[in-house]
Amino acid sequence: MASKTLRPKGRVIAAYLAPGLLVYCFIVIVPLIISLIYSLYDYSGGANMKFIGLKNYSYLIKDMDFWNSFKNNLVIIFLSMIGQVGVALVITAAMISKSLKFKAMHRNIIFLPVVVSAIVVGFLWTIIYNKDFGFLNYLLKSVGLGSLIVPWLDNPKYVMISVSIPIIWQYIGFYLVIFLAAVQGISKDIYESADIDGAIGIKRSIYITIPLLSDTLKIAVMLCIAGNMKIFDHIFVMTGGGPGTSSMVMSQYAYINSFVMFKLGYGSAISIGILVLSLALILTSRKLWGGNKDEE
Amino acid sequence: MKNNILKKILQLILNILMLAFSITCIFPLVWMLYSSLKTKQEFALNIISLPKVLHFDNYLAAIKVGKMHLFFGNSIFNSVVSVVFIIVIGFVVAYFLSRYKFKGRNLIYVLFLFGMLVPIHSLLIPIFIQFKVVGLLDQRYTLLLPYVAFGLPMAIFLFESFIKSTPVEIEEAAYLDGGSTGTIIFRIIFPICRPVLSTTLILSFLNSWNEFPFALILLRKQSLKTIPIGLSNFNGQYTVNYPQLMAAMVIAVLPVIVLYLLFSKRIIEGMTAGSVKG
Amino acid sequence: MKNKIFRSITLFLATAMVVSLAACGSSVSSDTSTATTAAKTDAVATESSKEPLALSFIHMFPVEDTEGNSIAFHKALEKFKGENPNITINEEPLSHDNYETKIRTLAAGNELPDIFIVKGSMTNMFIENKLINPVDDVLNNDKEWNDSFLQGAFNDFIVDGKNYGIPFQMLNTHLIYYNKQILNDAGISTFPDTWAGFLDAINKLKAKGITPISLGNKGNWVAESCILSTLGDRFTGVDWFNSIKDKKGAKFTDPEFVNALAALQNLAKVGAFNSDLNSIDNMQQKTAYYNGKAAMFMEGNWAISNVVNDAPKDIQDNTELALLPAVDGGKGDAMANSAGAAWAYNVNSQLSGEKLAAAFKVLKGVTDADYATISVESNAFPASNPKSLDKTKLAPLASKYLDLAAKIKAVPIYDAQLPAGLIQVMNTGLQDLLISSITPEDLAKKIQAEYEK
Repeated sequence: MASKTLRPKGRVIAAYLAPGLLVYCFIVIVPLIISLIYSLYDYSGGANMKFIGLKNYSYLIKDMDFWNSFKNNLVIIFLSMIGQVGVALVITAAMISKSLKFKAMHRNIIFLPVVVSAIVVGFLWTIIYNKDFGFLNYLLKSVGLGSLIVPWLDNPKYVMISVSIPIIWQYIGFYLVIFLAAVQGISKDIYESADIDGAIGIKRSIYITIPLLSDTLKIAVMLCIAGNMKIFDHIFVMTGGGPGTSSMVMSQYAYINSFVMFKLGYGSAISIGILVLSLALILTSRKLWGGNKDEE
Repeated sequence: MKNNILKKILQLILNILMLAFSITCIFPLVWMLYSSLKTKQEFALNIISLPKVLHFDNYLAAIKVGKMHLFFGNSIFNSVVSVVFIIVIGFVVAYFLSRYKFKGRNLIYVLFLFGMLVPIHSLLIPIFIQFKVVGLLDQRYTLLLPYVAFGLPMAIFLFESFIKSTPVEIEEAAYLDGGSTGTIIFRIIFPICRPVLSTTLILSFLNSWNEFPFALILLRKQSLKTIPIGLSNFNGQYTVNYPQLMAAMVIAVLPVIVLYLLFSKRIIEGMTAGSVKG
Repeated sequence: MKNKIFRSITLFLATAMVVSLAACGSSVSSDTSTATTAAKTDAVATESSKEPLALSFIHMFPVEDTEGNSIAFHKALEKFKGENPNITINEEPLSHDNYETKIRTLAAGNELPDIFIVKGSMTNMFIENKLINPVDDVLNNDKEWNDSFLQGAFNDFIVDGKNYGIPFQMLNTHLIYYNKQILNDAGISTFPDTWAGFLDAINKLKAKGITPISLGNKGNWVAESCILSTLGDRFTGVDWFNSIKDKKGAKFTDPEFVNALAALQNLAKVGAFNSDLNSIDNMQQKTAYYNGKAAMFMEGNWAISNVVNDAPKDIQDNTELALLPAVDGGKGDAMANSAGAAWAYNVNSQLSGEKLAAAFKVLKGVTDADYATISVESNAFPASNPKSLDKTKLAPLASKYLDLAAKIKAVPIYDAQLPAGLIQVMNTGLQDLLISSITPEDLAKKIQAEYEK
């Protein structure tokens, strides 16, 4: 926090914040409120709207399809914490150490999947998982591990894991780049004054870099939760939520209700539900992390 | 001595693992590239094999029939302009959020958080109706509004965490030297944020470039549509011409890769500087 | 350095703002909005249908699309434009999936264009929200046009005795495409005409290591549209369906329908399908067939142009068409087949006068007997009878289809006539049914529960 002397007058702050806030409130907050209003109605689009108060919500709480979808989102979030954020941290540590060759090449290649749109990634992995022509089965068979082949996207028991892998794969580079950017903010002096020098530089990374990244880590966790609660395109393309509803995620459930079944009121309620649950998850993660910062 | 050998082995393992990982990252894209050079029949018969002859007509078809040249310009316009606004506005908001306490600060923080948490499809219809009522549909600047608005939260949070870790002394010194708020923000803090700036720039550009739902719903004129919409036109009601679709995807992905490679140099500069004794 | 950055950003911002303002300035003036043109044409007193008008038309036929319907549509529309230079048609072509999303959004936001295409299952919602009007009057005033339509073409769009759509295609969603060479090699000389014979054939094919039926149900509509709509009828007969549609007492938990579900699940249980049936789509299901690894696949008549264009010659030459055989004790006709228009054109209920007449003129151009000729020549299947049919222009498979189609008795396609919410539950449930994650009885109960809401 900056000192009081530095602080500009309230008017100045307001002036700087106003344009951004205005645009943002108009495009995001107002529609959100409209959505909230829709959720109080039985509404199929068009002119007919029947006010039903909180009925949509009381139905939502009992809706097993919704909670199953939430469970699926939690699976993705859990796997992503380890696979995206965790792995990105490890790679960041490797990047700092002196042992890794071709750093620039690795960093650029790992970031490439981030650049490709989610729909393309979903589509690519659908082909990779294909029973007859997929690259995965081809690879397993050629190293003699053919017995490990299972119906990757057809078995409801592990379809969520299969579907999480492309999501993890795509965004490791995203977190890697964020961590790398933050690492540069760490003053060189800190490294110089520390006497630690481990086997491959990993010790230095663990004891110095990671604690200093804690702010960025918090943001990374938040982005991970937020992004994976909203996840849509990958799964839509790979399984469409199937088989049955075993890989349905919440945002697709909201989409189906609004756009396929024309239940706009209920679809809006689901969206508000997603918002509330996401907020709850993020606040919980903040508490668990230790709220020692002066703001949150 | 044993230490040395162990060290070398570990280093080797590290490098091999990373190499393997990088290969898995790049292979699907390589596959997409060479698949785009096949004919529809060739692809239908064997998805993995390399093309026997290189067919570039998929690219010609993608550009000509898919009107990619038209959509390309629109995508560039929307992405570049929205990113500029996202960075400038995001940076300013992040600066104030991270440095000062003021009334409503927490509320603003939470508001921006909301923007990150709500699935876009849920807001499609309300935004559509809103834009319709105010007359914002189907204009050159239509998409800029949601792109900037939805791009702000991530930019703000990324900038905010970075600024927080920057020592306050720098600004206090500048203030004592007689700098106004504007000077402090733009001339001093902003350049320091270069690493996170490049990152945010690329990520925001990506999001705008690949955005689909708003481009589909808020625009009617063919002359305004963007690349992701053009790509999806290769899907028929019951049929998909995969190689042609891949060619279009390659075209769509190329500019972002180029942009990334250009800007990534900035990040690498910082990286080698940061690990100095390394 | 910092100075430069600051300056260049400000400059960039300024330029960007100027550019965007200039751009939006120009785009506001151009292009027609339905409001202003409507006002103009209303002001112009009487007809002279040569008055220039503009109509907005959103459809699902992108120019890039190589499907028969799309090709025929564009040919017919170009012809119409040539003959009617005073009518400007502002098209917005979208791919099929995009079209579905967009038209629903536009309907919900009450911002539909002048002319558009409606899906059978959307009809009720559009009618409730007064977005479309019946087209009976228009058709009754033009006998030639009305008579050109095939029998049953309007069925998917008749609500309360009124017709709400003008169809352009007649889909048969169920056809069994089979490779007669593979069947012969497995000891099956003619396509089975009893259910027992069908199961026996499946066993024989399995014994030879061939996938009997290649199924790609990832989109979850394939099992329902291409198999169950017909298989269901074999058990229940059409009266049951009509009773469901009109809410006259039939239930999904009735034993006939449950038996149909059980028969479908049984096919999966005896291994008639490939193991990845829920993760490949209807396009990919044909790959196994083209490679000679599968003996049959089930899809609608739209797949004929796929086979004609994509299958290797020897597969194509050996491809024959058949229907699911009759079931013992079933109430349905053995030659019944799920067919219908599924989609149809209509115009914005707000149109009137000149524009309304012009809009229907456009629609006539893309649905009448002349259109039908173009359509058939493009390997598509129109909803109207072609004026002239040169059979020699057709691919052999298309000819075989027309011969079969002449004998078919049309029964409803489930997803063309039942409400969207119900179909959603049925479709996702069928994916579970096929992998034995749910019993036929439980699925029937689930569907019934949604039906009763």
